[in-house]
Amino acid sequence: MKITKTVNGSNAVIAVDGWLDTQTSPQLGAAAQELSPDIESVELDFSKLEYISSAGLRQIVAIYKSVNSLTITNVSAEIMDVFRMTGFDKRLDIR
Amino acid sequence: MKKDSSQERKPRRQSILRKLVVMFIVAIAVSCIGSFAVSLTTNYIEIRNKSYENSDEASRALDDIIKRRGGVAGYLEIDSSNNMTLAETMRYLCLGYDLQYMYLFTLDEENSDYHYIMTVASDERDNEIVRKERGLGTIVHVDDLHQSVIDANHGKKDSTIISMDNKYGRVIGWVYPLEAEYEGRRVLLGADCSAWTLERRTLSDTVNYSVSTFVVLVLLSGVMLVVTHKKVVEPVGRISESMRSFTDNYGKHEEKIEIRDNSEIGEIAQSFNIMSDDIHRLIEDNAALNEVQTQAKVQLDVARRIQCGVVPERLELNEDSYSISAFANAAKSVGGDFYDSFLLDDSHVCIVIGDVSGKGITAALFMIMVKTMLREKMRSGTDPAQVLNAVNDEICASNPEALFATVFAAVLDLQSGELTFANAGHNPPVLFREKPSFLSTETGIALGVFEDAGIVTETVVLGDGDGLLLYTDGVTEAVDKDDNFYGDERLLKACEGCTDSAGTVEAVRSSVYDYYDGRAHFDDLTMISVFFRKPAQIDILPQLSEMSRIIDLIKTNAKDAPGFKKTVLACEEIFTNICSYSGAKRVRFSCKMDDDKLRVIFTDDGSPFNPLTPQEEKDFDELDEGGMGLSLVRQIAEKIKYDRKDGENILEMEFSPYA
Repeated sequence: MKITKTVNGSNAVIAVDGWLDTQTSPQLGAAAQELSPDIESVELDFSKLEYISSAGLRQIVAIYKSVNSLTITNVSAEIMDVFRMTGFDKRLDIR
Repeated sequence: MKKDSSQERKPRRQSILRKLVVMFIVAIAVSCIGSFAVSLTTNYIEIRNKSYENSDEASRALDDIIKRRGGVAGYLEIDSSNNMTLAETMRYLCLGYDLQYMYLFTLDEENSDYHYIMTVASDERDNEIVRKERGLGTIVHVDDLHQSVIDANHGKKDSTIISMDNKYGRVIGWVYPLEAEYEGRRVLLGADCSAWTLERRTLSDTVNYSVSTFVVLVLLSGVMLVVTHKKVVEPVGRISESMRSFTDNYGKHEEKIEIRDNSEIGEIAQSFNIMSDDIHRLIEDNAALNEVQTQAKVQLDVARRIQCGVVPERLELNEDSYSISAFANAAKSVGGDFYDSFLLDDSHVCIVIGDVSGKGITAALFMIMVKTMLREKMRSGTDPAQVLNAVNDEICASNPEALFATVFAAVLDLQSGELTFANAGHNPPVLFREKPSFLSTETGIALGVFEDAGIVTETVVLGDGDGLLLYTDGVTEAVDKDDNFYGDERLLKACEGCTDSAGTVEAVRSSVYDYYDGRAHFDDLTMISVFFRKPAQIDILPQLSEMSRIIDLIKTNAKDAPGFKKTVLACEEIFTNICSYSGAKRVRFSCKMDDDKLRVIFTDDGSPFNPLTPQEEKDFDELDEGGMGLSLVRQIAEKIKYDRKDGENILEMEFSPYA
C-alpha cells in the first residue's frame, strides 16, 4: 500500500493506493496524525484503493473525528459496497 | 574277431584289412593274367625256336648219313636187311627230334612242282599213309611256292616258318637245303612239327610257370597282409577305438594308446595322447571358467535386484498437496543413476536425483553410499546445500576410485509450495509453470571432485499446479540410430501440456524410447517429477502476517471470481479477531470451491468465541474503537456456523464470489 499526501493551505488530500487492511491501516492513521493542526479539511482520494477492511474503516472514523471536514472521493463500487454495509455512506461525505 | 564285433556296432564301417585283401586279390589277378600272357608268348617263341634247332640238327644229321650212304640214289637202293633204309633213318630222326613229318624232295622251280623222294611220319599210321601218298616219284604242284623253299633250293638256310593246314593236319615246318642231289636237282628236306603239340607244350609250360608265380604271389601277399595288419591295421584300429571312446565320453578319456612304433602311426598315437590330454584339460578349465562366470552372473543378478530395491523402477505418490512420480530403467543392468523421495516432516518432502560416474557394480556401490548419506543428512533437517556440501566432504575424505556424483536435491514446502534446492553439477531441471522451461540454477561442482564444491541453496516458489522434472543425462543424451542426441529442445517439447507428475514421466519416457527407435541398448534413464497443489487446508500462526497465506489460498480456490475480495474481507475480520483476542496458539484455515460456493473453515485452539453472538450496536463516532468487523462478516457470508469441539472453535462460512 502506498499513501500520498498533498497539502494545499488548510486542505490536505490523502491518496491511498492498494490494500487497506489490518496490517496496512496504521499507516493511514499515522499519515493523518502527521498533518499539521492547521488543516481543516481532509480529502481521502480512494481512486486507487483496491480493498478495505474494518481496520481501514476505523482509521476513516478516526480521521473524521480529528478534522472539521472529511470528504471521500473516487470510491469504487466494491469499496462503496463496504461503506453501505457499515452505514458509512449515510454519515460521510462521499463524492 | 575283434574287427567283426566293431563292424556289428557300425555296419557302414569297412575294415582297412578287408579293403587291403580285395586290393591284393585284384593285384594278384591282374599280375597273374599279365605274366601269363607274357610268358605264353615267350614260351611259344622259345619252343618254336627249339623245334627249329631240332629240325636243323636232324637235317644236318640226315645230310651226313645220306653222304655216307652214297647219295640219295645209292641210299634208296641199300638193302634193308643189313642197314636201315632211308625211310627207317628218317623215321628214326623224326621220332628222335620230335618232328611230325620229314620229307625229302626236289623242287622243279620252273613248274612250281615238288618231286617227292621220301616222306615219313612219327606216327605209325600216318607213316604208312604218307609213304604211299608222298612216296618216291610223287609230284605235287604248289601254287604259292614259299620264298624260303626257293631260297633253300638255292642253298640258303632260312628259319622262316612255313605254316600249313592240310589233310595231314595243322603243322609248322621249315625247309633245309641238303648237299645231296637227286636226278640232278638239290635235295631239300622238309621238317614239320605238329602245331597242336607245340601249342600244348607252350600252354603246359606257361601254366606250370604261372601257377608257381601265383603261389609265390599269394604267399608274399599273405605275409604282407599279416605284417600290414600287425603294423598298420591293428594300431590304426586301436587309435580309432580310442578316438571313438574319446568323442563318446565327451573328452573323458583316461586310457592312453600304447603303440611302440617309430613310424607315422606311432606319431599319430602319440599326438593323439597329447591332444586328448590337452582337450581334457581345456574342458576342465572351461568348466571351471563357466562356473566362475555363472557365479558372477548370479551375483550381478542379485546386485541388480538389490538395486531395484534401492531405486525402484517406478514410484507413484499422490497426495492432496503434491504428486511424485519416478522412473528408472536400471532394470537391465546395474548402474549409477538414482532418485530418492521421502517426507522430512508433515509439510516437507525431499526429492533427489543423482548420477554416479562409471558403470556396473562399482558405480552401483558408490551410488548406494551417496544415496544413503543424502537421505541420512537430509533427514537431519539442514538445507540442501549444506547437505550436499557435507556429503561432498565425506566423499572427498576417502575416495580411492576417484568416483564422483552429480546430484540435485530439493525440499518442497507442502504448505507454501516453496522449493529449496541445491545443484551439484546436475542437469538443470524442467520447471512447469505456464509452459515448461529449464530452471536456472547455480550449478556447483559434482560431489567427490573438489573439497570446496561451492554448492548453494536457492529457492523457487511453486504455484498451484506447478511442477518440476529432475532427470539424468540418459534423457538428453539418448541417441537415435544416426547417433543424434535427444537434446534439451525435444525434452521441453515432450514436457509441453503435462499437468501432473505421472503424465510428465510417462510423456518423457515414451518420447525418449520412441527416439531410440528400436535400438537394443538403452543407457540408464532415470527421472523424478514432483507437482505441487496448493493445499485446501493450511496451518497458520495467529499472526497478522499470515493473512497473506489465507489470501493466497482463497485466490487459488476462487480463481478470478469477482467477489473474492469480500470473502477475503470476511476472513480478515475473523482472523484479526482470532489473532487479537482468542489467545490461540495455532489456527487452521481451509478453503474449498464447491459449485460456485466458496466454503471456508477457521479452526483455532483459542478461548471460546461465537461470532454470531449479537453485539451491542455502536455509535458511528465510537466505531474507531472497532465493532464493525463481525457485522461485515455477517453481511458478507451467506451462511455462518459456529461450533466448539475438542477445545477448538470451528467457524464455517459460505460465500458466493460469483454473485
